[in-house]
Amino acid sequence: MSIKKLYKEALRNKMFMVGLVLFLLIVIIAVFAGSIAPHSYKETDVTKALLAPSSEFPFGTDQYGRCIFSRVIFGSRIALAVGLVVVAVESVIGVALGLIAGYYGGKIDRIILFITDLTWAMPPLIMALAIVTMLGPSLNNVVIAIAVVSWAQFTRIVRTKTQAIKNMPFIEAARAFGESDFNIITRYILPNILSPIIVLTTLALPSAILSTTSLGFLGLGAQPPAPDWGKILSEGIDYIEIAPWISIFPGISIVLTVLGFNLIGEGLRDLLDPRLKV
Amino acid sequence: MSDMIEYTIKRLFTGIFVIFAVTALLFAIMQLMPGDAIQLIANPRVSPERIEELREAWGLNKPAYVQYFYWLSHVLKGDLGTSISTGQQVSVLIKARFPYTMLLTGLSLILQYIIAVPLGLITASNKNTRADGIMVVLTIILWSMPPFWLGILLMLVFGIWLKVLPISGYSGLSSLILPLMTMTLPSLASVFRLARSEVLEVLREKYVLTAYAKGLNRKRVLTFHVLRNALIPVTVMFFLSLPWLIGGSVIVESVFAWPGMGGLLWKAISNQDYPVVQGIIFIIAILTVISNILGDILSAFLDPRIRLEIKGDNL
Repeated sequence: MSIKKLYKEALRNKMFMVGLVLFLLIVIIAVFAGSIAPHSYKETDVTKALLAPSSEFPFGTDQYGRCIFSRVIFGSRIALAVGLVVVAVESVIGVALGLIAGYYGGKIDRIILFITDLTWAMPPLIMALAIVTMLGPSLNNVVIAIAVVSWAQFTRIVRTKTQAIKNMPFIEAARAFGESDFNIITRYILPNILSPIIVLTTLALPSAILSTTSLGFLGLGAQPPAPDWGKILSEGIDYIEIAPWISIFPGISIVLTVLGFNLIGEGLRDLLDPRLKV
Repeated sequence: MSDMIEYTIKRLFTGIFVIFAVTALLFAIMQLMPGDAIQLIANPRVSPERIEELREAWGLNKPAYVQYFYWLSHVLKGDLGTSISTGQQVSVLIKARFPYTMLLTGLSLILQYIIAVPLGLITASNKNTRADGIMVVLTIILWSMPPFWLGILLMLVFGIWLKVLPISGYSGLSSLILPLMTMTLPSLASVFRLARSEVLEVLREKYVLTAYAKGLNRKRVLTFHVLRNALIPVTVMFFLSLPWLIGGSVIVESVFAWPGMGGLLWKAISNQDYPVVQGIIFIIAILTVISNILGDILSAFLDPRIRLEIKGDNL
């Protein structure tokens, strides 16, 4: 499909466009958090604790009198940054292993396959939970844990796609010309399986953000006073009866962010690779 | 049939191997952890000599692999160790919690399939109608919802504003409703999407065209030809999704203070109560491996094409 046609179809794909708007919105919020947020995200003032939403505090305040709106705005940076880093790490590992397993086959393939099976032998959240607990709660360790439990989905699909094209005539030709394995993999195979990788990557982002907020909710993510969305939300549970806004607003921002990426991913799948099963 | 038996035995052996590999892996990770349980529970005034003694008593001064084999030999005798924070038998703790988690996840799984599979069939066979479009968007929204937030919203609406349902703990069947909804809704969306896409896939097959060409009516084609084939991956998913649900139970149970295994795991993790963490993870690993094996065997049993592939398999 030519770029121009793709562009035209993208404009017509409603899901994709709505996702794109949400995505741009969240990026703008994250980049300009400093000028959008009316207050600091960590400054406490107990005389203003648990205030309902008002013009001064659009999303109300928490038990320390911190502005929930500002915390949510700054929290977008954590969610986005962690999501992007996690996906970068897991996709590089997953794609590389998938290419190697698919291209070489044989014993290497079987070893890689066994490792991917092993990472599926536990529910991902439990595995991530165990890893972060062992390494100690911090954002870095959240990144490691989520990447460890989710790279295998890339390997599985990249491996099958690589197997499907590695014996095609143009690869044979490249081999006959004496191209090295590395060149064949990176210059001939990779560009041809790029669309499923792009779709997978966009769909891995929302699930990475959801996992990050889940671990944050359980207290394993960024440590206070960092405005981790999941953490803000879980702190709000204790005050749910008198100050429900503490938990409601970070939840809405998680949903909108994740929804934006999900819509972009679904839209891209329709555009690039409609039969891909993720 | 003998192929099937051989395959089952092979899968069982790899399954057992995987259980041990996973527990060994987790054991290894645990050893990387800074500090140990003794430092955590002991009063700072306790003398270093006494701490050393305790470490000796708990076996924490031995090398990791010795500790692992020690643990393993006891597990094989049905002994999962003692909780460091409460002093109770881990197996007793888990036994008390296990039924609650299974009740929640089992009911959730059944509900998901009862609702999602017919919905998937109906929407897929009416593709591109308004109802189908709404369902697809609705599932994406459900997918995008963190389960803990969904739980909190349900809690707010039904527990605090309407005051019709209890919001935490376990006090009879009405306590079950909110955690059950929280656990079911997002997964229901996934099952629905899977059912829908499988039905769509089957509808493209040539044998469906053949069935219509034979003059069969739509209802007959949909139930006998489409549903039967589309159900294979959906049924397999039934088993594969059980571990995911148990994983999710950690979150749902901690939101609603549900007295299940997930909540226990969460508490044990915050107390760094290794034996309990290890015991629960061991149980979850077993459950996961069993459901994966059941899923694999079932798909081989239902789908002759997979059976053919297995013959060439030398795993």
